[in-house]
Amino acid sequence: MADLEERVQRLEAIEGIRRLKIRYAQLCDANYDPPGLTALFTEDAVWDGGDLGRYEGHDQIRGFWEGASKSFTFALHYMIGHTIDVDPPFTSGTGHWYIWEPATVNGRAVFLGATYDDVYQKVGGEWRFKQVNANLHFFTPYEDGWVKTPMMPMD
Amino acid sequence: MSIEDRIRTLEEIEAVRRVLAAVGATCDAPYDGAAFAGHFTEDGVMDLMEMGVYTGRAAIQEFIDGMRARVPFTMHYWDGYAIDVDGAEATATWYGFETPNLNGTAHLGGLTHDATLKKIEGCWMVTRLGQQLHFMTPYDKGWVRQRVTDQTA
Repeated sequence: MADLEERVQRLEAIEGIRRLKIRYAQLCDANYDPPGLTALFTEDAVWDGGDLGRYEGHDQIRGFWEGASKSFTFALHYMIGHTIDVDPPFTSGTGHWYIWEPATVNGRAVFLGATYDDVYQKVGGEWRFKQVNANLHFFTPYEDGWVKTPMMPMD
Repeated sequence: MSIEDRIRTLEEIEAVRRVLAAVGATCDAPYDGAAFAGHFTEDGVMDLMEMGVYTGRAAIQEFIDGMRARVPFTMHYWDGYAIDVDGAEATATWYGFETPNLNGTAHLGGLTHDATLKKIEGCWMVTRLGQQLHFMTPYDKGWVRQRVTDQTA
């Protein structure tokens, strides 16, 4: 078994990454606060949402949040069922999360179901996103549901 | 910070998470007002905004027990906790998703919560519990057509 210091560092890293992801959720729910969200990413980070687009670096990532803040006028990001892995020296890590998101998009109530595969990096003592892969499983109008309309257009 | 203090902080975060989970479970149907209120300090406050402010264990217990008549069923899915511990005091925020029966109709509720806690005689006790209601909508409508159904009627 690893020594006590290493075991504590592992638990502190997991808790720090958990807080990073919840901060991300809270800022998304605050109308996608573009500067606040961008600051959670490393300078060279990638946010890759598949059909939602791939954004690399702070400028592109901030632009993505600026667009989201116009079309998503309401959202609650329920981040659940996560696993976080970190190894010595505890300056990077990976995580898998589920998200359940009720939202209002261009005036329509929608449900979004997705998973995240993240890569984290510690920068200046703070955890940041190095890579976020958002894997969209459904994005459906409230009235339709994910069997009738699993993926509605974003615009 | 010593390694003992760092371990204590992690343990206390987990302990607060456990207390808040127990609070959520006791306000699921069939509701246990005594157990729910027992997690609060004697002068604890539950601020439900549009649903009222309840101060002290007796008032909190009465409100929760009264839910049986007003809301015959609900479940509180609580997660997404952010907990900060500073010695014998703690703050927390989290998300809630609810599935109540209101007025005989299935509803979906989207909320966020916040709390302050104090550790008293080895137990974390809630000094204040708040909630922000984002939607409480009939299942067949959604939050755009009807954002909130009155839960106090």
